[in-house]
Amino acid sequence: MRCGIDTGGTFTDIITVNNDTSKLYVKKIPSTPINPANVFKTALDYINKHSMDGQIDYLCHGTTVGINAVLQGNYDPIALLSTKNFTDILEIATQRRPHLYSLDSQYRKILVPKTARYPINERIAADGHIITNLDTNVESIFQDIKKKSIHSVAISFLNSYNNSSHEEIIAEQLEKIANKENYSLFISRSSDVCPIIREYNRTVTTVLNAIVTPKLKVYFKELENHILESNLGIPLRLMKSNAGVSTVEEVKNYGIHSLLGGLAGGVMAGEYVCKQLKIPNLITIDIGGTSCDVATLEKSQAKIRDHLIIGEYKAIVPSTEVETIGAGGGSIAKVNDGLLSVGPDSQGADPGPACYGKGSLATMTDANLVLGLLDPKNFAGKNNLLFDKSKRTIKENVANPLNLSIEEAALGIRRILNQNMSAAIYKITVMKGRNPHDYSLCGFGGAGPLHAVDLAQSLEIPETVIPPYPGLWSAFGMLVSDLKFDKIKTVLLELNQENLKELNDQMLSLQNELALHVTNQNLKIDKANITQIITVQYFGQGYSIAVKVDQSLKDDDKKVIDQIRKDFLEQHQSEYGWNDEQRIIQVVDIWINLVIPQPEVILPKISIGNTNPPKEAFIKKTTIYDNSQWFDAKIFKKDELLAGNKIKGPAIILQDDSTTYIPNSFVGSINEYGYILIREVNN
Amino acid sequence: MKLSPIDIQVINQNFIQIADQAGIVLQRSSFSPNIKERLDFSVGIYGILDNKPNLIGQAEHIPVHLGAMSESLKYIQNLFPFEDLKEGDVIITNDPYLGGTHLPDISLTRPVFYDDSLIAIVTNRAHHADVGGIIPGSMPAGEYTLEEEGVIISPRFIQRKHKLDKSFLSSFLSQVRSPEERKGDLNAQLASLAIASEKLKALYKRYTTKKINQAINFLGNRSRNAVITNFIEKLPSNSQPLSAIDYLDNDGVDDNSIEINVKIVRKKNNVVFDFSNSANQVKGNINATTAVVAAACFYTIRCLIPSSYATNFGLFENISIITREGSILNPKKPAGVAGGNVETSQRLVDVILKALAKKFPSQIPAASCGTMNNITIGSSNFTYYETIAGGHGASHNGSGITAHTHMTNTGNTPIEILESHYPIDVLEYSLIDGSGGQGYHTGGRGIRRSFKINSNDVKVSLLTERRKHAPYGIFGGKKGRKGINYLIKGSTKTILPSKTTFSINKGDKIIIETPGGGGYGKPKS
Repeated sequence: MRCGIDTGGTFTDIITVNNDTSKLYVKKIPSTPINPANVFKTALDYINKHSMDGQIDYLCHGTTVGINAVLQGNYDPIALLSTKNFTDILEIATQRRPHLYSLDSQYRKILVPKTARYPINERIAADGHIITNLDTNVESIFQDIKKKSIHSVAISFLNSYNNSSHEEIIAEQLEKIANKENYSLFISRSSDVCPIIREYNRTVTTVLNAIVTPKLKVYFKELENHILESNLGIPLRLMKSNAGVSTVEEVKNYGIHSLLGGLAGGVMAGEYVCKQLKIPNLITIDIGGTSCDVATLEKSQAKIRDHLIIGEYKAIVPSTEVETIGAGGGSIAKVNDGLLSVGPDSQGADPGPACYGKGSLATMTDANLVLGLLDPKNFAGKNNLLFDKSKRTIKENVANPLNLSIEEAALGIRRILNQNMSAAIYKITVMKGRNPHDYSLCGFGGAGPLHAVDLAQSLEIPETVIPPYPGLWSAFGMLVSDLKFDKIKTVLLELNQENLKELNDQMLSLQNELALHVTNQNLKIDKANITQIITVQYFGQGYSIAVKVDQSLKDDDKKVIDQIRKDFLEQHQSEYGWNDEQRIIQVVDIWINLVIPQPEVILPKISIGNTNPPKEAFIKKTTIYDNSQWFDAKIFKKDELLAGNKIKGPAIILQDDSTTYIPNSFVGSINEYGYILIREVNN
Repeated sequence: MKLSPIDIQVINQNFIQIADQAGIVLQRSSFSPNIKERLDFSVGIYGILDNKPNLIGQAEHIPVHLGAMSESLKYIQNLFPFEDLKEGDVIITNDPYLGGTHLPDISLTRPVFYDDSLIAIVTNRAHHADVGGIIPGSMPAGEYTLEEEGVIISPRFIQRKHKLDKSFLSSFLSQVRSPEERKGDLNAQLASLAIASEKLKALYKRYTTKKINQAINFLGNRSRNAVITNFIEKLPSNSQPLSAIDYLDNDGVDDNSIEINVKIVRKKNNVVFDFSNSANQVKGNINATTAVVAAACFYTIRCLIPSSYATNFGLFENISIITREGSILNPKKPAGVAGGNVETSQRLVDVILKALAKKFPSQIPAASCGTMNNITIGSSNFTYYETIAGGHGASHNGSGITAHTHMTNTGNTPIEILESHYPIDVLEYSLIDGSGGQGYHTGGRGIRRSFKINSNDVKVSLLTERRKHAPYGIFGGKKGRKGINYLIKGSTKTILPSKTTFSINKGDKIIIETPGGGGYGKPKS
């Protein structure tokens, strides 16, 4: 049996699948934010008691412990060692103030205070040659760090992406002294964590790694103890930002890789949908209570970029290209001088939407309730939403100030939030030169299936796909992800035949480094797939485009170069709308990606029916307000629907973890695995 | 059917998105470090109402461009009546005396047609690394005429009915340094306008011109009313104008201080910024064009209005600005203006804020570093331009930070990018402790950035300020530390003037120390 445990801020989702019978077990339990490891133990207990029709042989976990530590500033102090005269790089940052039209900008949170930033006398030039020899004596710095009870150190010297020797020596020296004094010290070295040009980005990445890794180490130790106690006898696997799975061994040194692990599950679940339904291009939208994550997949594959954004920081580690905005069921609707805005602020789960009873502000969920899209007796584990309170709150906060009817106000809230979410999709499609019309849209998360069809309609996406377990679909993604590892390095070489040998040598050496990194984690790489990627730009530009190196062309230098050039020109044209074939092309970074495939997971098939849904599936009739008019609609029960059933909109399909809305003139078809595929009637 | 408030917000968000998207295309495919790393560019979208362009959306990183493109469009409309424009036309200009800022800022403007009628104008303005002239980087300091500063492009077509004017382009490129880079940047600017134009057409098609114009009117009124309630109504009645004086250090030719003088008068629901009493135009090239003066006024007002109001033409409607012809804020052609955009613009903000401080004590901070600390280093084969941040003035809400202030918000060139592109090593990049003015809240610290030059026959230009007159503190706060520039040749360290152009050689070093911000309130005892 394969098991995924996905811990979010409000709920922890548990999903288990039997490899032989394809039987699936799903469960949501409340998370324990104060001590996040507790819920993991509860989850293990639950698995032990309930889903046992087989032995668990694979356990994967997604967590937000790392990202929350950074966002909430809840971590132990660290030290930063920098080149002398450059210890303020972290604080000066990009020199830009956070808000253009603010007369009193406040300080961004400084990750390492001045008192814990130490200068090292050394200097390396851009071409890697040594300008100032290294002062190797770090005894007094070590003693100061020890006095301050700091147990984690980041080292980031100028131009170390091109010559790492000084950083390596300092790391060794510190390690030696720490060992001698039996003092635990974690060291994060920039030339190891991310040997990439641009000192501020590299330093931030290294510092973030020094911040989150010790915290995650403690957390994973606890989880491993829980696994030991429960006699599972299997290693713990973790989701990481690159939409792959990692080992605890890797995260013990490179915690930075697991920061977006909580978002990656959803993207991989999207990849699964692509492969199962044979959809090449898919947009995923995961809508929860406070935020909405969108991603695109092409050729049935997730988009991976070389960085992730966390709060006001950018870290250079491979990461799924996910756009997150503050939009969800709890998003607050407000009127200011005649204009309605919804989000990014959210009421979250506490106090929650007005209809939960505690809150007094109008939210998206209140609007959906007033519009007739939610069943007050069956929503997110609640069986008594306060319909009248939603109505009253929307009337006071939105309808009266805008001089609209309550229904129109509620519909307005929905339209504005949909506009915000479609802007997020627009950003990762149209603004990258991708036409949404060529994609399908997959909506999941608690609120995804309620909004997906509207979003598809506004962006002219022909088909909407609702997966069988939308509310737990991110957790499902963890079961279908492969183990994935990356290394990136800046090389700065002109793209030509002369440099090809140098480029190949560098890639081979980076590949060997990566292979060693993986085998050191007790993993076998004989079945691994390795991809070589280079990022290229016109000489003089500041943003490079990733291109795969076709290894089958290896022996023909000219073909290799031609293929890279062709791919680059195509992408440049599609993203920026121009090209100039006379210009020199420069290779900026090389990037090796290693994937160890995991066994396939097959969803169970559901029983076959005919076009009309069975009687048992029909719950009752209702009315729904959409498009400025009331419609008669039917409510169905998802569990009773059969493969082949067609549900004509307007209709609502209820299941424990989510509610799907099929608007008028759309029809939803249930397929053999329980997906709902929704299209406009005339299409 | 009547346009609902919901439609208006959706249309508004679309204007912003389209401008942003055009900005991203420009940034990511350009070559000038000023554009790609430092984001020294803007994109403006103008809806046509009654045959007049009205700003409806702006992607901006640089306040000095705020509203400035609106000035430029007035001149363009005079020279090229809108009825003569055709689909696929693009007009180019950088003339500071026709709504421009300074020569390196090149603006491209494109009409957008839908259903055969002109619906909108899209325009972008980007700071190119070099536009010719006698000094690399086209940002000399001292007594230079406009022609010596660089190539002047009077408004003209660079593209007519989709056809690029290649002879103009090659003639322009032959007059600048690194022509390949210029060509690439212009390509990026053209691509950016083409995308904005396509997106706008799709938007007008979805909503109809009539509905969009209704939305534009609503949004403009909303922003105009916000200016009245949040700014104009808080000013004293017209019998008691607010006024203030501050000084520029010098013009880079002689060392006389230069007075900038503002009088702010409310007339019912209108306000007049009167700069007539400011100094006469100067020999040095720190004269500011009227577009720059307007941008400084709009910036200040924009800061006092909540961010939930759209940046559009409504912000500017009840504001009038008076400058005296022949003064430093309304110079006569061909006076040099390279530094007016970057330095005089900062002093304009300082003086406007100083005049308003008593009426807006919880919103207005002490003086910020008051300079962009411009340094240009170049020779026949490279040009490097940078502006260095300084201290923010402390405010009612807290201490000042260190970052770019007021009229600029460009990023820095990463040291590793700089060192891999140019024969320059950076020796230091750090904060200057104690440089922020003392006060109940302390001003932000200045920065020290030092360079070593690894090449011979290199020209350096400095355009810096607040080397003589320190940034002021307010409500009892102390002044920030002044900035200072040094040159080191061998073992000799000399102080450099605040504005100067000079030659240096291999091994020479330059140290720039930028000013700290002023303090706010009496220091805690």
